[in-house]
Amino acid sequence: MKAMLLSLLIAGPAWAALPGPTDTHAMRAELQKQRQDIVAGVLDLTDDEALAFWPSYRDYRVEMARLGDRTVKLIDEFVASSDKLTDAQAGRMVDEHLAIQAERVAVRQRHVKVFRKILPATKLARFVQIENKLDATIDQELAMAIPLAMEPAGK
Amino acid sequence: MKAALFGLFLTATSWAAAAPATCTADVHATERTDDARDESVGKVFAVQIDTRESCAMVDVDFTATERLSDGEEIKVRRRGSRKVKPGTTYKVTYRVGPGSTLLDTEFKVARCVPCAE
Repeated sequence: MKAMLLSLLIAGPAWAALPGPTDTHAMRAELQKQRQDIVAGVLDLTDDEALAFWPSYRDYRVEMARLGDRTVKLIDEFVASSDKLTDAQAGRMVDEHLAIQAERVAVRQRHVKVFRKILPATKLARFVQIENKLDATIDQELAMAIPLAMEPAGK
Repeated sequence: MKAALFGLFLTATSWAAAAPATCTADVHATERTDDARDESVGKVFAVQIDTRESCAMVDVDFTATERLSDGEEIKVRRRGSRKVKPGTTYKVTYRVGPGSTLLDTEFKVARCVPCAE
């Protein structure tokens, strides 16, 4: 319990600090840089699988990167106005967040159909698992840095 | 033991007979002007494949290293197969999306087999 509280205290200032746009971009780039190497290490593809898989993986990641760009834009917008957020802005941001989440699932479903034709079932399952783990790590880092929405002063 | 050696000899001979003759080929790529469109930029290459054969089937591996807009660096290998004659140049286009940067490219001959007469 003591250790948990201590880690919460240590995490506290980082959580409370507002990330600037550059921080968000740099953090994401740093986490994403090694992504393919991690996926490659886990999948251990044969030469034939690799020839078919990586071009499809690249198309998939291009689409996911675009959704990531939208997320970063949303975070930048939120950070710039988190202490003076209007109801209209807050509502629009929630809608955009949910739209991005829905599209992430749709993109993944569409591409898994392609990967299913290339990879054996266990390798496909491993790929989906590692994707989830990497996304969870990035989401956790971002969640630690993004403050909660505040009502405008005087409201 | 004799039978085993004979079996081994037969296997080796049939394997050698089944393997197609190979040839050598060199590939040279020159970057040309980008083909820019609304949604993507086409990186265009003039690819020349040199071989001493009058006709050969050549597999060329194209490896591109690309940095996506989110910072992920992706290395992709695509294989193209062509029936080539000496001194022929081919156009290869690799499309990159908005926000992506092509960091490195490499063309390499993976296989060269003379055309069947």
